[in-house]
Amino acid sequence: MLALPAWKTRNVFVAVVLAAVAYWLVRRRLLGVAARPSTTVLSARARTNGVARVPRVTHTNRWNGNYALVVGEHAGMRQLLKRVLGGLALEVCEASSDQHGPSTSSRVPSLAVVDVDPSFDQGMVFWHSLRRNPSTASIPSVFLVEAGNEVVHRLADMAGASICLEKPFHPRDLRDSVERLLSPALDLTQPGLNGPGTPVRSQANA
Amino acid sequence: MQPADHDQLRLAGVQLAARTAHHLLTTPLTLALGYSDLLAEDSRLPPDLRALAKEASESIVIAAAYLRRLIRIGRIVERDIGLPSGLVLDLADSALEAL
Repeated sequence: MLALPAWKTRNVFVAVVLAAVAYWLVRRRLLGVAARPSTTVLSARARTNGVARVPRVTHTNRWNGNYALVVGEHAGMRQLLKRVLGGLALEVCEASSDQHGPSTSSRVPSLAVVDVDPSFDQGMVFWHSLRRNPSTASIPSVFLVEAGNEVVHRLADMAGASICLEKPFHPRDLRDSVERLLSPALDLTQPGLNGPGTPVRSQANA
Repeated sequence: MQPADHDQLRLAGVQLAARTAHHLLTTPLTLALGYSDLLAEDSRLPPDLRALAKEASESIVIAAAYLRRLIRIGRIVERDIGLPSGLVLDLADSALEAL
């Protein structure tokens, strides 16, 4: 049996531990092992005595520092959006009509996806409260709008939508829009990219 | 009531029904298209099931196209397709080209 001096044994042990940590970090970064999306629900009731209560956000998992805020009235739509955005390994945080006021999260959402339903305006109330908050005022947004509904298009335009995507849409169209907004070199004024509020017709509506 | 007024009211009624159908069906169609696309691109499923999901997706796209035509109705052109309940709209001729 080969007997190593104590200092050599210690060095070998340290080297093995360092190699394991390096392997874990590389695997995590390259393979996205830790990229399982998680979802968080903003928890807060509407207004209390006329004063907007501030929703709290609890983050359970993060990937690459990005998370998306999904705003909408329809629970089924929010579920779909969570699944689609989960495909991008984004953390998803959802907000529905009974929530008002800006997020108190220590981190600003990387972007927001807003499902505009002209029958209800509470989602827009929530969105405007985000716009009034300096920390969330400039987050890029994808607005999901009814095809052919000029009123909703104008609503999205006035609300400062970065991209309007017409419903129904293919999930890949939403993913493309989100990736464009998350692109660090995004310049919305660049030719070929959509400026604020410019409608994007999903291939489903081509 | 003048015949022209009657036609206007009739057209307004059809447009009201069309707008309502478009509004009510947009979100369900979005969900159906979204989930069928997600299934069609899910590599965990066998190819034959993914192909079925793609078929569903393509049919939903066609349904969405009909729905878009509904909100472009600008005149009433009817067709007799033998339904005992009466005529149907000729959607291709009733819908305006551009909204």
